[in-house]
Amino acid sequence: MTYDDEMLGRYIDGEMDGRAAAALETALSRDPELAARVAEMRVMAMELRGAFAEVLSEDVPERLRAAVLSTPTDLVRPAVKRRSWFAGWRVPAFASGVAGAAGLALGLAVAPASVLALDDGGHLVARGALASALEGGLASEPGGATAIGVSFRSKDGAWCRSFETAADQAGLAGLACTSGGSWRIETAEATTGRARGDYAQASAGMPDAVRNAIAARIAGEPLDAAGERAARDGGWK
Amino acid sequence: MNDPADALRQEMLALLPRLRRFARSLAGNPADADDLVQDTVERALKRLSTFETGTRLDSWMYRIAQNIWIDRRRAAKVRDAVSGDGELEHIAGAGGEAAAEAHVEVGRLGRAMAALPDEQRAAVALVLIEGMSYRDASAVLGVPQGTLTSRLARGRAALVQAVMGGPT
Repeated sequence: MTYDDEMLGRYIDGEMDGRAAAALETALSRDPELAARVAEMRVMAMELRGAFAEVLSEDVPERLRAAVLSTPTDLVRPAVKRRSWFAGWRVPAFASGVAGAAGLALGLAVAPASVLALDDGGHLVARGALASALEGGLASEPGGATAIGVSFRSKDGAWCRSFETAADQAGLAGLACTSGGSWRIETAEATTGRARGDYAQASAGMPDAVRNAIAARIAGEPLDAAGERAARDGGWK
Repeated sequence: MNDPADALRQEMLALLPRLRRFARSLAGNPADADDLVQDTVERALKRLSTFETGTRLDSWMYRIAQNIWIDRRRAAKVRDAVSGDGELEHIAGAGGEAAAEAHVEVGRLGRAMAALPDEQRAAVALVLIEGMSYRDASAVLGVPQGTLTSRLARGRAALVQAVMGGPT
Protein backbone atom coordinates (compact mmCIF):
# COMPACT_ATOMS: atom_id res chain seq x y z
CA MET A 1 0.00 0.00 0.00
CA THR A 2 1.29 3.46 -0.85
CA TYR A 3 0.37 6.48 1.18
CA ASP A 4 -0.18 9.92 -0.25
CA ASP A 5 -0.03 13.21 1.67
CA GLU A 6 -3.78 13.28 2.06
CA MET A 7 -3.75 9.96 3.89
CA LEU A 8 -0.78 10.92 6.01
CA GLY A 9 -2.56 14.14 6.93
CA ARG A 10 -5.66 12.20 7.90
CA TYR A 11 -3.51 10.04 10.15
CA ILE A 12 -1.83 13.02 11.82
CA ASP A 13 -5.13 14.82 12.28
CA GLY A 14 -6.72 11.82 13.97
CA GLU A 15 -9.22 11.37 11.16
CA MET A 16 -8.18 7.84 10.23
CA ASP A 17 -10.03 4.87 11.68
CA GLY A 18 -8.20 2.55 14.03
CA ARG A 19 -7.44 -0.29 11.62
CA ALA A 20 -6.11 1.95 8.89
CA ALA A 21 -4.03 3.84 11.42
CA ALA A 22 -2.55 0.60 12.74
CA ALA A 23 -1.66 -0.49 9.22
CA LEU A 24 -0.03 2.86 8.55
CA GLU A 25 1.97 2.63 11.76
CA THR A 26 3.30 -0.73 10.65
CA ALA A 27 4.30 0.82 7.37
CA LEU A 28 5.97 3.73 9.18
CA SER A 29 8.09 1.34 11.24
CA ARG A 30 9.40 -0.23 8.06
CA ASP A 31 9.72 2.76 5.80
CA PRO A 32 12.09 5.50 7.07
CA GLU A 33 11.22 7.79 4.17
CA LEU A 34 7.53 7.61 4.95
CA ALA A 35 8.26 8.16 8.64
CA ALA A 36 10.35 11.23 7.78
CA ARG A 37 7.51 12.65 5.75
CA VAL A 38 5.09 12.23 8.66
CA ALA A 39 7.61 13.81 11.00
CA GLU A 40 7.97 16.82 8.70
CA MET A 41 4.24 17.27 8.60
CA ARG A 42 3.99 17.04 12.37
CA VAL A 43 6.79 19.54 12.90
CA MET A 44 5.21 21.98 10.48
CA ALA A 45 1.82 21.75 12.21
CA MET A 46 3.46 22.29 15.58
CA GLU A 47 5.34 25.33 14.37
CA LEU A 48 2.25 26.72 12.73
CA ARG A 49 0.22 26.40 15.92
CA GLY A 50 3.07 27.95 17.83
CA ALA A 51 3.30 30.87 15.43
CA PHE A 52 -0.33 31.79 16.04
CA ALA A 53 -0.53 30.81 19.70
CA GLU A 54 0.49 34.23 20.94
CA VAL A 55 -2.69 35.76 19.56
CA LEU A 56 -4.56 33.93 22.30
CA SER A 57 -2.59 35.60 25.05
CA GLU A 58 -2.89 39.11 23.65
CA ASP A 59 -5.33 41.50 25.30
CA VAL A 60 -8.50 41.62 23.25
CA PRO A 61 -8.96 45.19 21.94
CA GLU A 62 -11.69 47.06 23.78
CA ARG A 63 -13.52 47.89 20.55
CA LEU A 64 -14.10 44.18 19.92
CA ARG A 65 -15.46 43.60 23.42
CA ALA A 66 -17.67 46.65 22.97
CA ALA A 67 -18.96 45.30 19.65
CA VAL A 68 -19.93 42.04 21.35
CA LEU A 69 -21.67 43.78 24.21
CA SER A 70 -23.45 46.57 22.41
CA THR A 71 -24.27 45.62 18.82
CA PRO A 72 -28.06 45.36 18.65
CA THR A 73 -29.44 41.94 17.79
CA ASP A 74 -32.48 40.95 15.74
CA LEU A 75 -33.86 38.80 18.54
CA VAL A 76 -37.44 39.66 19.46
CA ARG A 77 -37.66 40.90 22.99
CA PRO A 78 -40.26 39.43 25.31
CA ALA A 79 -43.66 41.05 24.88
CA VAL A 80 -43.92 41.98 28.55
CA LYS A 81 -40.99 42.96 30.62
CA ARG A 82 -41.15 43.98 34.23
CA ARG A 83 -39.68 47.23 35.29
CA SER A 84 -37.06 46.81 37.89
CA TRP A 85 -38.66 49.25 40.28
CA PHE A 86 -41.87 47.35 40.14
CA ALA A 87 -40.45 43.87 39.88
CA GLY A 88 -42.58 41.21 41.48
CA TRP A 89 -45.14 43.73 42.51
CA ARG A 90 -48.48 42.22 43.45
CA VAL A 91 -51.56 44.00 44.69
CA PRO A 92 -52.34 41.61 47.56
CA ALA A 93 -49.02 42.49 49.12
CA PHE A 94 -50.28 46.03 49.52
CA ALA A 95 -53.85 45.25 50.43
CA SER A 96 -53.28 45.88 54.10
CA GLY A 97 -50.64 47.12 56.44
CA VAL A 98 -48.40 50.10 56.72
CA ALA A 99 -45.56 48.52 54.79
CA GLY A 100 -47.90 47.85 51.91
CA ALA A 101 -49.11 51.42 51.86
CA ALA A 102 -45.55 52.69 51.93
CA GLY A 103 -44.64 50.42 49.05
CA LEU A 104 -47.61 51.65 47.11
CA ALA A 105 -46.75 55.26 47.79
CA LEU A 106 -43.28 54.62 46.45
CA GLY A 107 -44.67 52.97 43.36
CA LEU A 108 -47.04 55.80 42.66
CA ALA A 109 -44.34 58.36 43.22
CA VAL A 110 -42.19 56.74 40.57
CA ALA A 111 -45.03 56.13 38.13
CA PRO A 112 -45.37 59.08 35.77
CA ALA A 113 -49.15 59.19 35.93
CA SER A 114 -51.23 58.04 38.83
CA VAL A 115 -54.07 55.77 37.83
CA LEU A 116 -54.32 53.94 41.14
CA ALA A 117 -55.43 54.95 44.62
CA LEU A 118 -56.37 53.36 47.93
CA ASP A 119 -60.03 53.62 48.86
CA ASP A 120 -61.28 54.07 52.41
CA GLY A 121 -61.23 50.34 52.97
CA GLY A 122 -57.57 50.10 52.01
CA HIS A 123 -58.30 48.49 48.65
CA LEU A 124 -56.50 49.51 45.52
CA VAL A 125 -58.88 51.04 43.01
CA ALA A 126 -58.61 52.54 39.54
CA ARG A 127 -58.54 56.32 39.22
CA GLY A 128 -58.28 58.83 36.44
CA ALA A 129 -57.74 57.58 32.92
CA LEU A 130 -57.77 53.95 34.00
CA ALA A 131 -61.12 54.31 35.78
CA SER A 132 -62.57 56.06 32.70
CA ALA A 133 -61.32 53.34 30.39
CA LEU A 134 -62.73 50.58 32.59
CA GLU A 135 -66.03 52.38 32.81
CA GLY A 136 -66.47 53.41 29.22
CA GLY A 137 -63.91 51.63 27.01
CA LEU A 138 -64.66 48.75 24.69
CA ALA A 139 -62.29 46.01 23.58
CA SER A 140 -64.12 46.09 20.28
CA GLU A 141 -63.31 49.77 19.84
CA PRO A 142 -59.70 50.17 20.90
CA GLY A 143 -58.35 53.64 21.34
CA GLY A 144 -56.91 55.77 24.07
CA ALA A 145 -54.07 55.09 26.41
CA THR A 146 -55.61 52.04 28.06
CA ALA A 147 -56.46 48.85 26.22
CA ILE A 148 -59.34 46.75 27.48
CA GLY A 149 -58.94 43.00 27.13
CA VAL A 150 -61.67 40.63 28.23
CA SER A 151 -64.81 41.56 30.15
CA PHE A 152 -66.83 39.02 32.10
CA ARG A 153 -69.14 38.40 35.02
CA SER A 154 -67.35 37.00 38.05
CA LYS A 155 -68.57 34.12 40.20
CA ASP A 156 -69.65 36.57 42.90
CA GLY A 157 -71.62 38.69 40.46
CA ALA A 158 -69.20 41.56 39.84
CA TRP A 159 -68.11 42.75 36.42
CA CYS A 160 -64.43 42.27 35.69
CA ARG A 161 -62.25 43.59 32.92
CA SER A 162 -58.61 43.04 32.10
CA PHE A 163 -56.66 46.07 31.03
CA GLU A 164 -53.25 47.30 30.01
CA THR A 165 -52.21 50.90 30.39
CA ALA A 166 -49.75 52.64 28.13
CA ALA A 167 -46.15 52.95 29.23
CA ASP A 168 -46.54 56.65 29.98
CA GLN A 169 -49.49 55.90 32.25
CA ALA A 170 -47.82 53.60 34.75
CA GLY A 171 -47.47 50.69 32.32
CA LEU A 172 -49.70 48.25 34.14
CA ALA A 173 -51.41 45.07 33.04
CA GLY A 174 -54.10 43.85 35.38
CA LEU A 175 -57.61 42.84 36.20
CA ALA A 176 -60.20 45.11 37.80
CA CYS A 177 -63.66 44.20 39.09
CA THR A 178 -66.61 46.39 40.11
CA SER A 179 -66.97 46.91 43.81
CA GLY A 180 -69.19 49.52 45.40
CA GLY A 181 -69.08 51.91 42.47
CA SER A 182 -65.33 51.66 41.91
CA TRP A 183 -63.13 49.39 39.87
CA ARG A 184 -61.10 47.46 42.40
CA ILE A 185 -57.73 46.23 41.18
CA GLU A 186 -57.61 42.48 41.69
CA THR A 187 -54.14 42.10 40.35
CA ALA A 188 -51.75 44.21 38.35
CA GLU A 189 -48.23 43.94 37.16
CA ALA A 190 -45.86 46.49 35.78
CA THR A 191 -45.12 46.07 32.11
CA THR A 192 -43.41 48.18 29.55
CA GLY A 193 -46.95 49.03 28.51
CA ARG A 194 -47.97 49.26 24.93
CA ALA A 195 -44.85 51.12 24.05
CA ARG A 196 -44.81 52.25 20.48
CA GLY A 197 -43.72 49.66 18.03
CA ASP A 198 -41.09 48.08 20.19
CA TYR A 199 -43.12 45.23 21.54
CA ALA A 200 -45.67 42.75 20.43
CA GLN A 201 -49.38 43.34 20.79
CA ALA A 202 -50.49 43.76 24.40
CA SER A 203 -52.77 40.73 24.43
CA ALA A 204 -49.89 38.46 23.48
CA GLY A 205 -48.11 39.48 26.63
CA MET A 206 -50.82 39.18 29.27
CA PRO A 207 -48.97 38.38 32.48
CA ASP A 208 -49.62 34.99 34.02
CA ALA A 209 -50.92 36.66 37.18
CA VAL A 210 -53.66 38.35 35.18
CA ARG A 211 -54.52 35.21 33.26
CA ASN A 212 -54.72 33.28 36.52
CA ALA A 213 -56.87 35.95 38.15
CA ILE A 214 -59.30 35.76 35.25
CA ALA A 215 -59.45 31.98 35.41
CA ALA A 216 -60.11 32.09 39.15
CA ARG A 217 -63.00 34.53 38.87
CA ILE A 218 -64.77 34.03 35.59
CA ALA A 219 -68.29 32.60 35.57
CA GLY A 220 -69.14 31.28 32.13
CA GLU A 221 -67.73 32.91 29.04
CA PRO A 222 -66.26 36.37 28.49
CA LEU A 223 -68.58 38.92 26.90
CA ASP A 224 -68.68 39.18 23.15
CA ALA A 225 -68.66 42.61 21.51
CA ALA A 226 -72.42 43.05 21.74
CA GLY A 227 -72.53 41.87 25.34
CA GLU A 228 -69.66 44.16 26.27
CA ARG A 229 -71.41 47.17 24.76
CA ALA A 230 -74.70 46.32 26.46
CA ALA A 231 -73.01 45.96 29.84
CA ARG A 232 -71.15 49.22 29.36
CA ASP A 233 -74.31 51.06 28.29
CA GLY A 234 -76.08 49.61 31.29
CA GLY A 235 -73.43 51.10 33.60
CA TRP A 236 -72.02 47.77 34.76
CA LYS A 237 -74.98 47.08 37.01
CA MET B 1 -30.64 43.84 31.57
CA ASN B 2 -33.28 41.47 30.16
CA ASP B 3 -31.41 41.12 26.85
CA PRO B 4 -32.29 37.69 25.50
CA ALA B 5 -28.91 37.67 23.80
CA ASP B 6 -27.01 37.99 27.07
CA ALA B 7 -25.88 34.38 27.27
CA LEU B 8 -24.72 34.39 23.65
CA ARG B 9 -22.87 37.65 24.13
CA GLN B 10 -21.00 36.13 27.04
CA GLU B 11 -20.15 33.09 24.95
CA MET B 12 -18.97 35.39 22.17
CA LEU B 13 -16.72 37.31 24.54
CA ALA B 14 -15.07 34.04 25.50
CA LEU B 15 -14.63 33.20 21.81
CA LEU B 16 -12.92 36.47 20.90
CA PRO B 17 -9.32 35.26 21.39
CA ARG B 18 -9.87 32.25 19.13
CA LEU B 19 -11.78 34.30 16.61
CA ARG B 20 -8.90 36.76 16.53
CA ARG B 21 -6.47 33.94 15.92
CA PHE B 22 -8.55 32.58 13.06
CA ALA B 23 -8.87 36.04 11.56
CA ARG B 24 -5.11 36.56 11.95
CA SER B 25 -4.42 33.38 10.03
CA LEU B 26 -6.75 34.47 7.24
CA ALA B 27 -5.77 38.12 7.03
CA GLY B 28 -2.12 37.99 7.98
CA ASN B 29 -1.75 41.36 9.64
CA PRO B 30 -3.28 42.19 13.02
CA ALA B 31 -5.14 45.35 11.99
CA ASP B 32 -6.98 43.73 9.09
CA ALA B 33 -7.65 40.70 11.27
CA ASP B 34 -9.26 42.71 14.05
CA ASP B 35 -11.36 44.62 11.51
CA LEU B 36 -12.54 41.26 10.26
CA VAL B 37 -13.38 40.16 13.81
CA GLN B 38 -15.35 43.34 14.41
CA ASP B 39 -17.34 42.92 11.19
CA THR B 40 -17.94 39.29 12.10
CA VAL B 41 -19.24 40.11 15.56
CA GLU B 42 -21.52 42.84 14.22
CA ARG B 43 -22.94 40.67 11.48
CA ALA B 44 -23.43 37.75 13.87
CA LEU B 45 -25.37 39.84 16.37
CA LYS B 46 -27.49 41.50 13.71
CA ARG B 47 -28.46 38.06 12.45
CA LEU B 48 -28.54 36.31 15.79
CA SER B 49 -32.02 34.96 15.13
CA THR B 50 -30.53 32.74 12.43
CA PHE B 51 -28.22 31.03 14.89
CA GLU B 52 -29.58 27.60 15.76
CA THR B 53 -29.59 27.08 19.48
CA GLY B 54 -27.74 23.94 20.40
CA THR B 55 -25.27 24.17 17.53
CA ARG B 56 -21.71 25.39 17.88
CA LEU B 57 -21.44 29.13 18.18
CA ASP B 58 -17.75 29.02 17.27
CA SER B 59 -18.39 27.19 13.99
CA TRP B 60 -21.13 29.64 13.12
CA MET B 61 -18.90 32.63 13.77
CA TYR B 62 -15.92 31.15 11.93
CA ARG B 63 -18.22 30.68 9.01
CA ILE B 64 -19.37 34.29 9.09
CA ALA B 65 -15.75 35.46 9.34
CA GLN B 66 -14.75 33.26 6.43
CA ASN B 67 -17.62 34.54 4.28
CA ILE B 68 -16.83 38.17 5.01
CA TRP B 69 -13.19 37.53 4.25
CA ILE B 70 -13.92 35.81 0.95
CA ASP B 71 -16.26 38.64 -0.06
CA ARG B 72 -13.62 41.19 0.78
CA ARG B 73 -10.94 39.33 -1.17
CA ARG B 74 -13.25 38.96 -4.13
CA ALA B 75 -14.00 42.68 -4.14
CA ALA B 76 -10.29 43.43 -3.90
CA LYS B 77 -9.56 41.12 -6.80
CA VAL B 78 -12.14 42.85 -8.93
CA ARG B 79 -10.73 46.26 -8.05
CA ASP B 80 -7.29 44.91 -8.68
CA ALA B 81 -8.21 43.59 -12.10
CA VAL B 82 -9.81 46.90 -13.00
CA SER B 83 -7.07 49.20 -11.77
CA GLY B 84 -4.13 46.87 -12.09
CA ASP B 85 -2.30 48.60 -9.28
CA GLY B 86 -1.74 45.65 -7.03
CA GLU B 87 -4.21 46.72 -4.39
CA LEU B 88 -4.85 43.09 -3.56
CA GLU B 89 -1.46 42.58 -2.07
CA HIS B 90 -1.98 45.57 0.11
CA ILE B 91 -5.51 44.82 1.23
CA ALA B 92 -4.90 41.20 1.92
CA GLY B 93 -1.98 42.11 4.05
CA ALA B 94 -1.39 38.66 2.81
CA GLY B 95 1.48 39.89 0.80
CA GLY B 96 3.65 38.14 3.31
CA GLU B 97 5.77 41.17 3.96
CA ALA B 98 3.01 42.88 5.90
CA ALA B 99 2.52 39.80 8.02
CA ALA B 100 6.20 39.36 8.53
CA GLU B 101 6.73 42.97 9.49
CA ALA B 102 3.90 42.90 11.97
CA HIS B 103 5.00 39.65 13.48
CA VAL B 104 8.53 38.79 12.77
CA GLU B 105 8.27 35.55 14.71
CA VAL B 106 5.69 34.25 12.27
CA GLY B 107 8.59 34.26 9.87
CA ARG B 108 8.85 31.77 7.07
CA LEU B 109 5.69 29.91 8.01
CA GLY B 110 3.69 33.12 8.17
CA ARG B 111 4.87 34.11 4.74
CA ALA B 112 4.08 30.68 3.39
CA MET B 113 0.60 30.86 4.92
CA ALA B 114 0.06 34.24 3.35
CA ALA B 115 1.11 32.87 -0.02
CA LEU B 116 -1.43 30.03 0.04
CA PRO B 117 -4.60 30.33 -2.02
CA ASP B 118 -7.42 31.57 0.25
CA GLU B 119 -9.27 28.26 0.19
CA GLN B 120 -6.25 26.28 1.27
CA ARG B 121 -5.35 28.79 3.94
CA ALA B 122 -8.82 28.57 5.46
CA ALA B 123 -8.67 24.79 5.55
CA VAL B 124 -5.22 24.83 7.15
CA ALA B 125 -6.32 27.45 9.69
CA LEU B 126 -9.39 25.56 10.80
CA VAL B 127 -7.83 22.11 11.10
CA LEU B 128 -4.19 22.71 11.96
CA ILE B 129 -4.47 25.91 13.99
CA GLU B 130 -8.00 25.85 15.38
CA GLY B 131 -7.94 22.09 15.82
CA MET B 132 -11.31 21.41 14.24
CA SER B 133 -12.39 18.01 12.99
CA TYR B 134 -12.71 17.58 9.23
CA ARG B 135 -16.45 17.40 9.66
CA ASP B 136 -16.72 20.69 11.55
CA ALA B 137 -14.23 22.44 9.29
CA SER B 138 -16.06 21.40 6.12
CA ALA B 139 -19.29 22.64 7.67
CA VAL B 140 -17.67 26.00 8.40
CA LEU B 141 -16.46 26.28 4.82
CA GLY B 142 -19.65 24.91 3.35
CA VAL B 143 -17.83 22.32 1.24
CA PRO B 144 -17.90 18.50 1.15
CA GLN B 145 -15.40 16.77 3.38
CA GLY B 146 -13.47 15.48 0.37
CA THR B 147 -12.96 19.01 -0.86
CA LEU B 148 -11.74 20.11 2.53
CA THR B 149 -9.36 17.15 2.70
CA SER B 150 -7.74 17.89 -0.64
CA ARG B 151 -7.42 21.62 0.06
CA LEU B 152 -5.85 20.79 3.37
CA ALA B 153 -3.41 18.34 1.78
CA ARG B 154 -2.27 20.86 -0.81
CA GLY B 155 -1.92 23.63 1.74
CA ARG B 156 -0.04 21.39 4.11
CA ALA B 157 2.37 20.25 1.40
CA ALA B 158 3.20 23.85 0.51
CA LEU B 159 3.82 24.72 4.14
CA VAL B 160 6.04 21.69 4.73
CA GLN B 161 8.00 22.70 1.70
CA ALA B 162 8.44 26.20 3.09
CA VAL B 163 9.55 25.05 6.53
CA MET B 164 11.81 22.28 5.39
CA GLY B 165 13.09 23.98 2.30
CA GLY B 166 15.65 26.07 4.14
CA PRO B 167 15.82 29.85 4.45
CA THR B 168 14.02 31.80 1.76
